[in-house]
Amino acid sequence: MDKSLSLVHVKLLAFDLLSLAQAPTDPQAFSRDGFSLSRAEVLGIVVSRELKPGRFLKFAVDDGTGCVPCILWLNHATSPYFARQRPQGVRLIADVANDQASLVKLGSVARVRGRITSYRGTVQITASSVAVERDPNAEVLHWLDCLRLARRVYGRLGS
Amino acid sequence: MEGSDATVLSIAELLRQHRPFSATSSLRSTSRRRLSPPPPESRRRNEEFRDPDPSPRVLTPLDHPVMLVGTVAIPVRDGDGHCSAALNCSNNGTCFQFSDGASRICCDVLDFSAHLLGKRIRVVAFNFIPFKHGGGFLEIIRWSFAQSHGGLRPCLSSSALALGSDSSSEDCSKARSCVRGVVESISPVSVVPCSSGTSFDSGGARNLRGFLAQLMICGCKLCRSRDITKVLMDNSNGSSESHAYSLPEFVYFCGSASFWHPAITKLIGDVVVLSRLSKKLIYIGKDESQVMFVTTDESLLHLLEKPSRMSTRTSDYSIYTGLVTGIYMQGMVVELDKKVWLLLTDQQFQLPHSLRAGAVVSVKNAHLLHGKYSWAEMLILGGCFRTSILVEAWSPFETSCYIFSDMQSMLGKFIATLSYPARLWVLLTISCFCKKFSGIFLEKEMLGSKKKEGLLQMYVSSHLPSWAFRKRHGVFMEMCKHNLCGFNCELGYTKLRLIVPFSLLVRHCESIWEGLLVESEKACKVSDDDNKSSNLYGVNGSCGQLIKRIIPSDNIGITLLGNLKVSPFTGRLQLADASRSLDVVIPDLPSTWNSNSIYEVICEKNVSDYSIVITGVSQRPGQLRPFDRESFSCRSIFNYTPLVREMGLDISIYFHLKNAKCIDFHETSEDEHEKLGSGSYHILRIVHKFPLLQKLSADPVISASMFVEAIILPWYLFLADKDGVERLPYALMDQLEEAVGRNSNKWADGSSKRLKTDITLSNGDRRFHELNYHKVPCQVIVRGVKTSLPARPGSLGRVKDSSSNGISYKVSPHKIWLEFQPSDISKYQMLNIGGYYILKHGKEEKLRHLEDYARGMKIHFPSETKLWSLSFSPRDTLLHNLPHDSPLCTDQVRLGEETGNFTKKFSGYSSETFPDICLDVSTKAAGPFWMDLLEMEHSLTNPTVNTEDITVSSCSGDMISSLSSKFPSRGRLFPDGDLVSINGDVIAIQRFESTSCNLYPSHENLLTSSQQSRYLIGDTSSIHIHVSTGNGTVHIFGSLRNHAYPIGFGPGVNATFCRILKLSGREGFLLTPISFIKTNSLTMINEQCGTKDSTMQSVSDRRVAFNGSSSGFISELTQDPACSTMQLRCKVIAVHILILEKTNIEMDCLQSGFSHQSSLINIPIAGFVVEDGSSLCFCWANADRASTLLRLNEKLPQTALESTNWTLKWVGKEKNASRASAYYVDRILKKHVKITVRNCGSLLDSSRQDLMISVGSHNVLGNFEEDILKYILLYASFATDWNIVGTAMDINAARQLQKQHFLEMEMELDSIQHMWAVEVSHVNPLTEAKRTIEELLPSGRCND
Repeated sequence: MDKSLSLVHVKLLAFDLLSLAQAPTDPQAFSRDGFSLSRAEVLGIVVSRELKPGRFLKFAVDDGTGCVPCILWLNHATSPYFARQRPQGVRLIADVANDQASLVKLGSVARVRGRITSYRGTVQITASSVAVERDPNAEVLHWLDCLRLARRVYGRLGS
Repeated sequence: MEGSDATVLSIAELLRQHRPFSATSSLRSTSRRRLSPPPPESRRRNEEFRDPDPSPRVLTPLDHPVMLVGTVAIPVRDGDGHCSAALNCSNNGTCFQFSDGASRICCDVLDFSAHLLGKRIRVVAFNFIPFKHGGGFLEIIRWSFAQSHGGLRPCLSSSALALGSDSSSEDCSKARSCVRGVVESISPVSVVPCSSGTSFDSGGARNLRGFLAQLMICGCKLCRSRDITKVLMDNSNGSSESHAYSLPEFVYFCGSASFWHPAITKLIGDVVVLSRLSKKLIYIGKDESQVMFVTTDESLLHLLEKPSRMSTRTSDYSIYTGLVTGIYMQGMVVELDKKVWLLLTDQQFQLPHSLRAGAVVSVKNAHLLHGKYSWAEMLILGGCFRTSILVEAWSPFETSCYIFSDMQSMLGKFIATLSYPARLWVLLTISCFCKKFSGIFLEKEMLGSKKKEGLLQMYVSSHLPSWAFRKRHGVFMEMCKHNLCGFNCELGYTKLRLIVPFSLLVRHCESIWEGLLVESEKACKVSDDDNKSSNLYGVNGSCGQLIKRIIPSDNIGITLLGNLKVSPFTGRLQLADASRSLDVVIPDLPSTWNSNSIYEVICEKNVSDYSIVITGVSQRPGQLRPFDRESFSCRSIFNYTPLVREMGLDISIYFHLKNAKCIDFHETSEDEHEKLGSGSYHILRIVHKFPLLQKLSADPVISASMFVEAIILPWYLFLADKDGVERLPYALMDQLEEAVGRNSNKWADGSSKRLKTDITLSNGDRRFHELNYHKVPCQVIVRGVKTSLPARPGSLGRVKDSSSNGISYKVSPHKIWLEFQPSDISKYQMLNIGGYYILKHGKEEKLRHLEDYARGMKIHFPSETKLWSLSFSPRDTLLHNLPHDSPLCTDQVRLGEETGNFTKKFSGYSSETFPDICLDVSTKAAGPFWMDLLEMEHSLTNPTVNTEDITVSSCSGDMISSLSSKFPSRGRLFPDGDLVSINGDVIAIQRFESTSCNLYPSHENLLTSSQQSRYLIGDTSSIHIHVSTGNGTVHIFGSLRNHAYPIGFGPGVNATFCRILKLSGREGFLLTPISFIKTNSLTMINEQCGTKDSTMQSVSDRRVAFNGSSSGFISELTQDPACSTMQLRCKVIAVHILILEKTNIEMDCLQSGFSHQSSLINIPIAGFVVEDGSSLCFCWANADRASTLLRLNEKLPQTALESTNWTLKWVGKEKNASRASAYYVDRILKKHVKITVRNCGSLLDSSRQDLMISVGSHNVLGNFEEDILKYILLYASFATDWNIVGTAMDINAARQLQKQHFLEMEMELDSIQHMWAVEVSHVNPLTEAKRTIEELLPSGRCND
């Protein structure tokens, strides 16, 4: 059974996430305490937002410990990545992405999940899903989750 | 002068009118406000909802001015020294009289001045209150002197009033003493019997009537002077304030002076001078004497002005002034200001007539105590012999005067010997007891009489601790030695428990219930708005979700007292009183229990002595009333009126008989019931109970027979008689002969022999029988109602199987059907499916050859025959070795075993077996017996369906026909399938009914209206039960007669559904008319609740903590033992496998009794990839859980419709705007019946999924339909966290699951953890955060 965290969206606080080191062998993978990660989930207040319609939405999420840059691609129509798929299906995904992009507003609490990537030497998240949390307690719960996971799961894997 | 134009009324005219009125027209312009208390608006406001007694009517004012002219006088004694009985006044000479020359009535004066006594006055404002039995009472509000003066008698001084009859006498040689002081307190009037030779011998035979007054005197020289003129002179100097009135002195007003009681009462607090007194040594007790002043015939009362303030006051004395808000218990309890309870239980005490509800009174010299009881806390004003009540303002209401009835009974005396908090408890208990047993006992029986103590006193005195009693010393002693009535002991009263009428308990439960619902509504609003709209079970229509709450006894804090009986209407065991009956479940009730005896379940320990289980339908917030904390207040108990309308909650009580006490008021013997005589007994094993049948007649009493299917074991139980001789039954002898091929004529010839049932063997026969006969010696332990009796020797016996002359002989168990008469309903109710019972062999013709009759026949069970439940001591270990097939296939549940450990943790009950008789058969010779038992149990757990089961139904006529009439469609006459039994935990129940009130017509209250009862008896309701078994959740549909509803059935019950139909080819089970639901245990799904800390979580939250499973991470799931459930908080990343089906709508609609317009979605299986930050997991789910994870009940965002062009496909956009996903899936399913979706793309990335969709119909799935489906699946993976309670599955189980649903297994899935979702619900971030922080904190401390 695969116990590595490479397939899992790890919940990390921003300071932790931003300090991840890119694995020298695999540019897709990042490592923390010796185990590799590729996906993450962050939750925080949207503090910056830059939209290029039809291309991408760049935004930053601040969870109180740091600010994580995120990118949500909106280039489904032009990207060769989706060219192989059925156009209607791609349009569906594109619509969902646009829908999510419209939810990202300055000051809102967003939960971002996606792949951990690096852009110009900085860790960022290439979002696969963005959800806006309406319950203010979600932020606290996220912090606690990060703590709990770090103690009970990530800490043990590393040791 | 005011009132000069007023009509003068005579007393005779007043009495003739005989109606209460107020003649206050003269006051309207001036001082009206001062005199009448403000109308109690607050009272009206508070009482408008619950209080059945409306505000009393205000006295009718006369529209024209009237006036009375007459004199106010102290009561005039008649020849016996009593005041005239013509006034119809019960207060023997303790109230003033108003006389107009022609007639007299009782009166009281608001601004009393002693100078008015005997003077002719004009009464210009007054209230008149007639007595019920003639006479009346005059409340004088304003008066003035009439012109003509007429004093009582000529006195020496103008300000002096003669107390005695002979004040004109100048001979003061004997009575030279005088006393000056402040009247502190006065005692009630008491009569000293002079014939007994007391010290107050007045020479005559007449008894001496009198009262004591305590004066506080000043010790100064002037005051001590014997010269009355000097004493009085001091007053004229105006230097009264210089006196320190601090020394107590007593004056005994006896003889004719005793009639001055009302006047002296009015003078409490005033400085008075009494002259011409004599000083005597008075015996106040047996050995106690006190020097005090005694009035003589010449004594005079001199009035002085009031001192500006009291110089001394002992700390425990008090003056309490308040509004009388209620008078209860014949005036023994007076409620003041709705918060203070004035107790006037001393028999000598006489209430003033003017003490009416609505009056403002001052209570002087009463003991103020803080009463702390288990059910409430309150202020108590304890009235003692010093207490006086002065009315400060008359009541403006038409409330009647209190006529004190003479409480000379033993109970009255008994109450007087108690401390105040105990008195109030006793009075409350009397009030409740009388209401509880009003039809059951005579009032005289309950209250007792002057000579005989009643049931109440017996009950009460057995519950009061010794220190609640105190010795009484009589009026004189307690007046003079005031420390004797010291009531300092206030502790320990929390142990006293209230007994309340059950209808009041029901009202209390309803309040708790409403409070809980209100709380839950709040919680719902705060937590998840989105979730609230979603229906967890995807069923539309007028169905209510049943909610169950268990309230432990310590949250109720009262004692249950009632008659234990079986209701002839519902056939249920009930605890009843005159007000109501409540269903009860008593797991340890012996078969030999005393019907109709009174049981008491005391709530005294910390653990729950009983639990109240409330089941009801969640209501809309608007229909809820705020929690009424007053339901057990003294007011609601004294003021109690039976409930007019109840909320229709199902309230039942669970307790163990070992926690209860049988109160034997009539001292009947119990031994008779417990007797298990010697002789032989049949052993029965109950296979099935057929539910109660109810004929559709207007008579609500159960009139149809009840049927039970049982197996007779070939074994007999023999109990030796006193001589140790065992007798074999005749039938056994016959069998024995048959077995060895002997001619049985020896036993059969002659009818006289046949009638003989038991046979004592001769020695020769015995030897012969030992060869062909198994005998297993055993010990028989009989459990009684209270104690276990010593073990008795006995034996089990059966004829050996044999084969001789080519004929094999084999005795085998036989199936029989027992028919119980309606009168034997308690016996029927006591029987448990799977239980063993013995019944006496022989007496009845039919039972003698039970096995002969038994072959396929029903047997009328004779009503006088007793059944005892039986257990075998090493049986449990034995039966655990029995093979258990999957619980879906067994026809019978495991026998009476415990339903699991988790039930113990919660406040509930589990049906542990409490047999009447325990057989210890742990001997070596018991082998054949165990073999037989095992064999029989094996045959019963055989999963094949008994064809007999169908023939059984023919014995109860209309059953099969009712079955066929239900299902006319679907091409077949009957729904087909196998009859099975299922054991599992009920998760939820939905009932489909036209009205939500009166859900469970389980009580006699239904019988209040015959129309109602006709409507409900035999009524069926359609239900949908969600049951969690070991293999997941199953759904049981069907209609259930109200009578077949087990007590307390609802969510949280572990139940066995016996003989339900497993529908072939469909998922789900059907309740049939022969299905029987047996509840094994009851647990709370999540929380206990009560009045103290009761927060009911929203439905979704509540369901999360199902079974109290531990929470953790997916990565920890594998480490857990395979079976246990775990609560995970995770996200759906992708939907991997999904099958959507149309449910069998026609059948459901028939069952539920109303038609759905749309079909329902059934999800036989779905596979989701879920993740929680620790690991990935493949989560399998079906039905509602899958539907929740797919967010089928949530609204799709508008973009979904736009991007899929759905709007083009179906009529306008607006109409589609607010539909849930389920709506679209439903529409697609209508066309395509079944949809299977598989993901062939990435397991993890929803945007890289490649969904393959196939449909069950021959039609092709349209592009729009495909898009919306894909969108729904995509949308499901964007949800936030879910709480999933799941169990880990190994890969084989996952493979099995896929095979079952014809899904191809992918290699990819092998490497991932699998899980089965038991429960799915929304996450409440706040509660989760709280829980997480609790989890983190202790470990954090350790680490630091």
